[in-house]
Amino acid sequence: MTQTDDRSLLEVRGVSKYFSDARHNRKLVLDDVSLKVHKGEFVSILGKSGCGKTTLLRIIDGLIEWDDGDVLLEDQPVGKAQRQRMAFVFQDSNLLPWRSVKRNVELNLESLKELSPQERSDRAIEALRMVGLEDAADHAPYQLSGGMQQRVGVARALARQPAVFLMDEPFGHLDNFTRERLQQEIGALIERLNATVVFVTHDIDEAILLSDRIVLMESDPGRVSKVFEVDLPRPRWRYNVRAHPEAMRLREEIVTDLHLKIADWVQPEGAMLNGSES
Amino acid sequence: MAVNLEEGFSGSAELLTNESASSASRLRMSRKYSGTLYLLVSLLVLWQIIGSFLDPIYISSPTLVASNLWEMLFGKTQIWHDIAVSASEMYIGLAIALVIGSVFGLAIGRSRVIRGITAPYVVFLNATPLVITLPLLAIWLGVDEKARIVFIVLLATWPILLNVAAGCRNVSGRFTELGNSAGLSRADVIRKIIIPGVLPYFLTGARISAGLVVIGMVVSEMEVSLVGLGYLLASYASGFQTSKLLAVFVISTIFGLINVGILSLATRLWAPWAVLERKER
Repeated sequence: MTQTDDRSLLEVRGVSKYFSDARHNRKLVLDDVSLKVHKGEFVSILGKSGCGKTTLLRIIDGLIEWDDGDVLLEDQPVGKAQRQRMAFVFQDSNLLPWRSVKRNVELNLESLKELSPQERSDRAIEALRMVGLEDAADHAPYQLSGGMQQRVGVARALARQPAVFLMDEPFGHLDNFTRERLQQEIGALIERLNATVVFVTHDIDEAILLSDRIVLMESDPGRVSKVFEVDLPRPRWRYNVRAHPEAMRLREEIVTDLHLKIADWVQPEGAMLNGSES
Repeated sequence: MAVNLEEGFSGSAELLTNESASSASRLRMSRKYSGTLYLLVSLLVLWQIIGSFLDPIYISSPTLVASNLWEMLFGKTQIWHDIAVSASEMYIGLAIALVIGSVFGLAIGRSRVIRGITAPYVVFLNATPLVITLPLLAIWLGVDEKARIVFIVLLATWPILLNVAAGCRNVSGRFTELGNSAGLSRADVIRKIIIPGVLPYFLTGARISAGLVVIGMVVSEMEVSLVGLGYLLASYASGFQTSKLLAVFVISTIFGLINVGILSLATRLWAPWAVLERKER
């Protein structure tokens, strides 16, 4: 586990959010969600689709309004200044097709007035180098594969040198091989930078591989169901993690919670649960 | 014809932007072009043969049309004045339509309130056969170029407006959160994201309008004019001067082709990503 200090870097305190449907009925999508993220910690928000995990991430980044509760960065309620210190990685890489790869990365720096154009350019190149794409700096987005586009999405966040990375299923749209490769590479990069990350996913193995802590969410309304500490040594490698007894135990525990308690799956008659009859 | 030209342009876009375009694709393209050319020559020959058996009043013939065209452009009865009048109406109308269409398209695309208020009118006016406004415009503005330009604007605004509005919504939906997350101001979101994102939609609308202004020019001049290509068409038609009629038709068509060609070229130069993204699908 990476080093943490007592004070949380990012805190979500009792956040609730309603959506209105077409008939103006208010539907509770997030119910009193609280969450603390320490510096250098990788926290995954795990839940099935529709549980409000992406909504929570967008609230943290100030992309949408919320109805109740607070979001604090270093004990300050998030405003414009705080949001400048967070960077969002979208599910789709969301690259502007009319900008080159490098200019896409620079977009995330253009609101930082203290940077000169030269510094912006240097930072963009540095970020692209970190994801192994410095040679593609002048390419157009459509010349890149899906995996490379998503790397640019990560580089765009890296260039900002943020206090917190907010990642919304960044590998969700990739094919299996590319996803596993990016999980490994981006995971290692985050480990090396000791970055603070809030990571939304519906993939249990991905959460275990990458996280220090996993926040399991239930849906209708979205609320925190259970928090799991991931006590696995770092640096992690997919093939070590998969066979690690602690990872297997954790996986069973999460699967049981997710499928039987949250998703309300029906257990077949006489089926074994966790290797023993339940 | 217009469709063909566009295909040709996007085909050559591939050649220019994709440096690794192989000789195979070049061969494919030349085959495509040669097919079009063979068909054109065959049709002209067929026309010439059939035309030679009939009174020229019916379908004339390519050689007759060509000699009349030559006469009109370089002979004793030149029609450059009519061409100039028509061209100026057409391009003034197109320019006004581009501005009005973009401004209202952006407003409708950006603001849900404006969209809600105007939607029924947009649907109504877009579905109306706008030719019925011509007599009204003639009554209000007189039988001169003002009425004709207003009619051309009425006709040409819609494709631009509708495309810009749709593009604006599409681009806003895709990229506004990105801009907000990057901390861009509202003005910067519009300047750096909405405007460049809408550009290919604008050019698509403009290409359709560039074809429509030719129709608007001809129709309005046939109805409310004593000069211009449309007026010539109407007077040659009533005088059964089929060869001259078709010569004017050729000039009008060339205008349409030039307009659409210029805008296809503009799309390739200013929004190459849109051409390539369209090809991917």
